[in-house]
Amino acid sequence: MIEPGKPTDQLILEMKDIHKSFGAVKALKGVDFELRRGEVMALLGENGAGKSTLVKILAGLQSPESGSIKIDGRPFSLGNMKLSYAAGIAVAEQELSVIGPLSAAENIFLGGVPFSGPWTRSRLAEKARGYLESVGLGHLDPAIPVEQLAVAERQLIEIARLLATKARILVLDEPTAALSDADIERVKSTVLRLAKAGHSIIYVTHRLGEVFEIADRIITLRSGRSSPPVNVSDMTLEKVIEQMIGRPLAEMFPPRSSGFGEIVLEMSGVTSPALNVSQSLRVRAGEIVGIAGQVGSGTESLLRAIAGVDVVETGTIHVGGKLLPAAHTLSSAIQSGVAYCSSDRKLDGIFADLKVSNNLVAPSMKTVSPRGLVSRRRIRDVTATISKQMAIDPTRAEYRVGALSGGNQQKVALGKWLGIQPRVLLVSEPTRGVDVGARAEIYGHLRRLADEGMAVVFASSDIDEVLGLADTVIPMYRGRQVRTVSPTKVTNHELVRDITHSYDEAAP
Amino acid sequence: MSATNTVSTPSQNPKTSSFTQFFLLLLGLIVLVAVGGLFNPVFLTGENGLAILRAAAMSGIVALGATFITLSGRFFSLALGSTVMFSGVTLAVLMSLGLPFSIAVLLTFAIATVVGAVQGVIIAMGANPIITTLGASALLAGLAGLTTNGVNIPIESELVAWIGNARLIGVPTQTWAFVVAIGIAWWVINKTRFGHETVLLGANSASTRASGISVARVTVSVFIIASISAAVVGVLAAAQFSKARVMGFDGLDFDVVAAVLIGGTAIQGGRGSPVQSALGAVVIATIQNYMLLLSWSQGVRTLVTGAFIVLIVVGFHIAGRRKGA
Repeated sequence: MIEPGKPTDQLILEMKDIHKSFGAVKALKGVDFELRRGEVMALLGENGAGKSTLVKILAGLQSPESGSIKIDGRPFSLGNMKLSYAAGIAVAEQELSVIGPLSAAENIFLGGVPFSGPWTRSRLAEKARGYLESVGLGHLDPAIPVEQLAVAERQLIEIARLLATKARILVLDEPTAALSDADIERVKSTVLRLAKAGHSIIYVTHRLGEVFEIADRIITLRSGRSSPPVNVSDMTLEKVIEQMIGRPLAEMFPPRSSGFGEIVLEMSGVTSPALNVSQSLRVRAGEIVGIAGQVGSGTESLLRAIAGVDVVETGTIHVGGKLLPAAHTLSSAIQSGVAYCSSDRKLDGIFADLKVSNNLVAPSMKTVSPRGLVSRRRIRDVTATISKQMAIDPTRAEYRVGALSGGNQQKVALGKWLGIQPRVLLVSEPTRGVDVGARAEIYGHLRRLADEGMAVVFASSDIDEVLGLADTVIPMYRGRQVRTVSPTKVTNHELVRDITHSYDEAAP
Repeated sequence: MSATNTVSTPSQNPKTSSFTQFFLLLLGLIVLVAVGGLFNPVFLTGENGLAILRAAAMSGIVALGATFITLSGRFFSLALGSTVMFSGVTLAVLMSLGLPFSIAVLLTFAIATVVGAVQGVIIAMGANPIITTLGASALLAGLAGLTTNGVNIPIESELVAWIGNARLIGVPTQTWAFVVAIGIAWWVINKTRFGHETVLLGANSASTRASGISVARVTVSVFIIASISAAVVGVLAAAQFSKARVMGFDGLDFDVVAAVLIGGTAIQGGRGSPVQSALGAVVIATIQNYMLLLSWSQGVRTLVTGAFIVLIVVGFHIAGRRKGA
C-alpha cells in the first residue's frame, strides 16, 4: 500500500549482513541496509564499493550468498526478478533501458499491459497518462516515440515505467549521471514528489550535492562494507566524502609547486562548432589548470578544440610559441606536442583487447618504427620507460588493458602520450571510473608531469578534484568561462555556484 | 557499472592469447593427416601433399590479403573472387593486344591497385565494407562480362603456360607463390609500422584516430593489399589453364572468408594473423582433398566442408568467450 505522507519510522526494507562474492573477489562483505516508508535514502560509495552489486541484488539479477532480508518486517528472499517484483521493488538501471522507436506509452507498459482484452493505442495512451503526470510529463503525447524525447524525459519515462509495475520501492541508479543542470532539476523534483506520494526511494548517485537537496538519510558503502544510516541534516559534504574514501580528503592531492615557466599554451578568441563564446587561455610550463563545469558546460569542448578533435573556426592557438595551422587537425596538434585524453577512455583512450605495451607505443609508432620498420628493442624501451614513469606493474605488461583496473587503465591512457614527450597534456575527467587509492596516484602523476615542465589542462565536473589539484581554476557555465581564480581564493561552495549559476537562488 | 568490471576481471584470462587457436588448428591438421593416412596411404604421399598445397594456394593467397581487411576491423571484402576473375581477364586482354607478359602483369597489378584503392577510399569515407565490396564485385563481374561476352579468353604464350605449370624442384609455381606470400604477409604484419597500425585500427578505430594515426591511409592500404593478392591469384589461375576464365570463381569468396575465420582472426578485428588464415586455407584444402580421394560426391563434399567450418568457428567462438578473450 502506498500511503502519502511524511516518512515514518516503519521499515519497508531491511537487509542484514549481506555477503556476495564473484570468484575470489568479495563484492559485499556484510552490508546492512534499511529503507523507511516514504523516505529518500541516498546510497553512496566509490566505484567498486559494492553499490552496483547491492542494486543488482535488489533487482533480482544477483542473489546474495548469505544475510537476511525483510520486507515490511517479514523475512523475504530475493534472488530473481519475480521475487523482486513480488516485493514491490523496481530498479531503473544506470544504462537507460527505454526502447527508442516505441512510444512513451508502450515503454511505460513494457512489463505488461494494465488491462485485459485487446489493446489499442488509445486505451494504452489513456492508461499511460496517469503515470506520465506523476513524473511531471503530463503535457506529453503518450504516442510520441521515446527517441524523440530529451535524455531527461527518457529518464523520467523510465521512472514512470517503474511506477507502472506498482512498485513501492524505487531504486534509481545514477539517474542524473548523463543529464545537464536544468534536466537534473526535473528529475530531482520528480523524485521528491514521488517520495511525498509515499514511495520509498533508494537513490544512487555520484553527485554529492544532490544528496543534500533530496535525500533524508545516507548509507555509504566502502570496499563492500556499509556504514550505519545517518540523517542528511547531521552531515556535511566533507564528512560524506571522508566516509566514502575512508580517510581525510587532504591526503588525496599532491602539494602544489611554487614557480612556473614560460607560457606553453596560449589560445585566444577560439570558437568551434561546440563553443559559440570565444575562449582564451594561457597555461605556463609546470602549471595545472583545472576547468570546472558540468556535463555539457563546454569544458570538454574547450579541450577538444585545442586537441584538434573539434575544428577551430576562429581564433589562434600557440603551442610553445608556434602557431597551430588554421583549423588544425588532431594529428597536427599531436605533432606540435599536444596530447589529449578524452573522458571516455574505453571509447578512444585505450585498446582494451591489446596488451599494455601495444597500447603504450600507439602514439609513438613513428619513433618505434624508423623507416617504417618496427624495432622490438625500441618498443621495449618506450614501454619500459613509460611503465617506470607511471608506475605500471611490469608483471602485467602482457595483460590485455581491458583486464586491468580503472586506475591502471587510466595510467595507460595517460602514459601512452609520454612516448612523444608532449608539451601540453589535456585530460578530460582524469579520474572517471578510477578507484580512490588510484585517484591519489593519478593526481600525483599529473603533478609530477607538470613539475617536469608540461603544461597540464584538465576538465572535471568534480569540484573537489579541481580545487585540490589545479594551480589555476576556471569554472565554466554554458560555454562561458565564468572567471579565472586561484584555488586558495575560492571556496567549494562558490565554485558550485559558478558552474550551476545559482546566484539568484537561496543558498542552502 | 565498474563494480561488475572489477569483480569479473579475475575470472577472465587477462593475457592475450592469439596463438592458442593457431596451435590447436595445427594440431588438428596433424591429427587429420595422420588418421587420414592410416586409412588411405595415398593421402600421405608427397605428390598428394603438393596437390593439397596447390589447391590451398588459390584461396590461401587471397586469404592472406583478405586477413588485412579483417584485422583492420573492416570485416570482409566480397569483391575478391570477382577481382581474381577480373585480373585474369585483364591480363588476357592486354596480352591479346600484343603486350609482352611482363608489362601486361604490371598493368594488371596497377589496375588491381586502383580497384582496391577506390573501394578503400569509399569505405574510409564511412561506407559499409560489405555493401561497398558487394557492389564492387557486381561491377567487376559486369565489366569482365562486357569485355569477354562471357567467353573464356585464351592466352597464347609459352612463358605463361610454363609459369602456370612449371615445377621448380618438383614444387608447382602456385605453391611457391603461396609460400613466398605467407612470408611477405608475416613480415608486413609483424615487422612494419603499417602492420602494427592495421592491428591497432582493428582493436579500436577511435583510439587509433586519437593516437594520431591516419585511419583513412590504413583503410585504403588494406583494401589495396587484398586486391593485389587477388590479382596474383588471377594471374596464376589464368596461367595454369592458359586462358582467362569468366566462371569458376563463385565459391572463392566463401573459401577466403572461411579460411580467415578458421584461422582464428577475430571478425571484429584487432586479433589474428594472415599466417593463421593460410593455415586455415590448408586445413580446408586437406579435408576437401581427402573427400576427393574417397570419391565422395560434390554435394556431400560441400556439405561436410560447410559443417566443418561452422563447427570450428562456433567452437572457437564459444571457447574464446568462456575465457573472456
